Amino acid sequence: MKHLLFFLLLFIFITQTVPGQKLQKQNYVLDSVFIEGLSCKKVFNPYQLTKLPDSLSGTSSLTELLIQNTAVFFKEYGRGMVSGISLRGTGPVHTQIVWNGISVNSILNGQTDLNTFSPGGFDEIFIKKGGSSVIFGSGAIGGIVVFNDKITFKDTFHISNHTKIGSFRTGINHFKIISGNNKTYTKFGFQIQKSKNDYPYPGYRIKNENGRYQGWDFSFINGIKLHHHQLYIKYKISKLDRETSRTLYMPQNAELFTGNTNILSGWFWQNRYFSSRTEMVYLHEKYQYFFNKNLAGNSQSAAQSILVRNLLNFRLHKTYNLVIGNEISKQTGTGDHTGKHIRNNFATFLIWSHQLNNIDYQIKLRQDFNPDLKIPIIGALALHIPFHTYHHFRFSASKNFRLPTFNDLYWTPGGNPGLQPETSYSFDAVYNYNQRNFETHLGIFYIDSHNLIKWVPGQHQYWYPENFETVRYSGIEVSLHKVLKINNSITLSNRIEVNYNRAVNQKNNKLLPFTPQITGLNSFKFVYKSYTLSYRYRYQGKIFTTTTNTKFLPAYHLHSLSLSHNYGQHINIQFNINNLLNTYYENVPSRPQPGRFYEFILNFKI
Amino acid sequence: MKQINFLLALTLIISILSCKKPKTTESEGEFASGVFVINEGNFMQGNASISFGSKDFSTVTNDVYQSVNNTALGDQAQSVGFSNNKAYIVVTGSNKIEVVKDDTMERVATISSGLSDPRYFETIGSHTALVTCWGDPSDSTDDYLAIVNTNSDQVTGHIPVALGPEKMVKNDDYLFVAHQGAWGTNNKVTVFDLILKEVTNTITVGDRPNSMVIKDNYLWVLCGGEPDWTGNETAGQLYKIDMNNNFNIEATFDFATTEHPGFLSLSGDDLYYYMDAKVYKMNTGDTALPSSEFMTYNGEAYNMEIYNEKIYITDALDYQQEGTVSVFDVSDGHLINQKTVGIIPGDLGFNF
Repeated sequence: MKHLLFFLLLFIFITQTVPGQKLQKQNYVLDSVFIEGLSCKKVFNPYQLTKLPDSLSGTSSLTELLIQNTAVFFKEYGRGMVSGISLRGTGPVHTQIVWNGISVNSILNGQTDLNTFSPGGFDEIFIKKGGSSVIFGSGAIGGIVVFNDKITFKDTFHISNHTKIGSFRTGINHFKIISGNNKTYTKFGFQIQKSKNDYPYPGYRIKNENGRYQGWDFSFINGIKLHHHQLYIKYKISKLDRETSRTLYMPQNAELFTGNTNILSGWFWQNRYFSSRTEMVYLHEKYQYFFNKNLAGNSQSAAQSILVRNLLNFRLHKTYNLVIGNEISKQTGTGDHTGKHIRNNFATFLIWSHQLNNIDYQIKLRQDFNPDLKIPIIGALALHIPFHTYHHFRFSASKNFRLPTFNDLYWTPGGNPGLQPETSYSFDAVYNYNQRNFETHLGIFYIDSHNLIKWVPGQHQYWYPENFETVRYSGIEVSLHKVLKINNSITLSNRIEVNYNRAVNQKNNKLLPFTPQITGLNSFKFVYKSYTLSYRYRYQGKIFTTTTNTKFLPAYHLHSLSLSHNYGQHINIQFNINNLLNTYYENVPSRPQPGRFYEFILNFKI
Repeated sequence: MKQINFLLALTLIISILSCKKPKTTESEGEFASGVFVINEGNFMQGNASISFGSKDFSTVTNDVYQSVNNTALGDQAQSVGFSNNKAYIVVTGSNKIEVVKDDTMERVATISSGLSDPRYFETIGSHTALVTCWGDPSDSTDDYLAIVNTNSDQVTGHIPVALGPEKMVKNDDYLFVAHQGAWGTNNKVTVFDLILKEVTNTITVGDRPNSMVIKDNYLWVLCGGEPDWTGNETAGQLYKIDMNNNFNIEATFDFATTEHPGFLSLSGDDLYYYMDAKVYKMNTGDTALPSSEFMTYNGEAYNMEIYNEKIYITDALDYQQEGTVSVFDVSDGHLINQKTVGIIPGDLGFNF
């Protein structure tokens, strides 16, 4: 409560001063953002959409980036370890990670480990909350996190290099070069990172043993334009080698190797009334786990997907258009515990968008055809009601699904080939107030999920998954952003985000464990000439650790401070103090996060 | 904060209570006489705990180790054994044994050196005990028995044994170690001669021996068999082994291939075991397995033990909440008491 008051006070202080600088216009663009070129004339987004800052160079992992810029919760098993995002109280398998329009969550376990995903090279990163299965398929229930490499045909040449060194012998270097003209575009990015990661657990005499990690990441984007046609390729490969850190009470000597390769090639052509985008995608993921890094024995798994997708956009009229999408995919998973299995899927979907005088609406439908699973027809309806210049009301309803993963179906022991898809219904109502230097978002949501797949203890001493649970998620999401330019040399800005959710298991009427009800972020920035001072406060409410809600991890408050300075146009230095008060906190039981630590960053760009 | 206050208050109450009674004998503390419930806790979540039940199990105090010692117990508490007025709590995940006074639960030592995945503790002399240790579970050749001196509370030696040593039973002459096989599978019982102080024999039994009892001259070994998911399912088996005749297998009782019994216990002349939510009873003189159950358990047992003519069944429920211990009368199977304990209750230590 004290901290809520603190939020409000700070906010009142900020809003009462004179408006000044123009905010960066928040993009309320719908699917065009997510599938490049799939644009409608007037599109809208009824969900909360957080666009992250363009300068992404200050972060090594996606977890770090999102923690610094949003209030979302991460189930992170200690710094740098396995990390899953949780939106709206749903689990990491209910948030789809979308790379250049393609869902890339693991076929094997249904989620993306965000610490294997380096955000450095992307041009756009979005979080879009709410169901999106119509376009992104299985698992887009809590929301999606979108990463785009944008190909633009104009004269550009950029080189940038970002170097960070920090506590616990952490180092990272990201290099990026972009070159383009009106016919070609090329982007090349390379990142290496390494950390001993042996941070002391605040208040204990133990260090984060066996927590070392190192990895690299390479991306290459290339496009050419020939009259009405564009041909392009997007390539990303990453490798990460991590020890798996000890817990508070249990030493570890395991090690995990992960490798991911994403290749996308596309052909886009358009005329005045029509555009077509055809893409062929290859995704590969590989895991190798050594229970004891000093011994040879290990378990392995790998998966690959081949996907072909075509999107046809009919610009039928100035105010309405129709998109028809078709997608065929073949997924192959192999593993020591699952054997080899193949899943073939065909999906067809359509999106109808229409702009009337006082209202915009969009209708979406999707049907999957799968020889092994019965996937229901799904759909979504969205309304946008602009009310006066600044006020917007948005409503949406959608049906979404999640398919069982290969582990759910085939894991030995326990895998249950009889599992059916999870289904869920989402409803959103949002009010936005968007002015030049002041934006608000007030939203409520309700999600009704059925047949949730849960691993439960069985009769024969092993666990097996079942379509077991019904969960209702509901909540409120609020965000406020204010920019205030006092004079030519001083600018203040403040962004506040508070999320409240209740995820109630309908079987016992208790809250789901391992997800907080409240998360909040207050980031405050003070710019004086070439200096920027940032302060960030993050609150996370308590997290229940038992299904009966009898035990919990306590709530915590984190404070961070950062000072940066620009030397002219090309050089920027930054100094960060993270976890200023050396607070002990955990996001997963017995997995302490680091106390106070420091980082020094040098950015160079042409 | 509230929790800490609560713990402080609890500690205070406990210390006041223990101050009230003048210590006349060695077993007068708060936890002098009753049942230790070892709550394993969730894997890698560090929430193992000890519950303490009164002799008749009408009252249970939870989280007693934490309240008395003001520190968490560790990760995956596996079992408890008693020696020299001390309780030895084997904490597998944390690779240690916490040694507490068996009447006050006050920690007196932590044994961590020389232990690698310790499982069970058995006293074999006035100041000697053995602890079964898996070593690294992904290494099938480094399993051993740790020799513990219960005066100094230190590991003083290692005895290499076959893969996956687990539970032990003993009489005056022998200690038997069942090799269930850790993460793999095994079919051996190691015989440790308590007079010669060495391993003298190895008995081959069925797959996955999980529990043993001794009645007169006979060692009874219950083997669970290979479960179905291994792709090589084998039937459970009960072995009757004559200790006076060179460990000759006198009788073998075969279950059906899909039957995997566990938790062999003894009360009087009767053997009891558990299978698919049912408890079966068989006289040691019987020549065949019982055809029908003695009682049904409404749940899924995580452990079953019999002591002082009572059947104790622990239940982990969904493994993500506090489990239960149910106590039944061994004569007719009626429920005497059921109490909520800690997360994943497993081993029970009877200290009365």
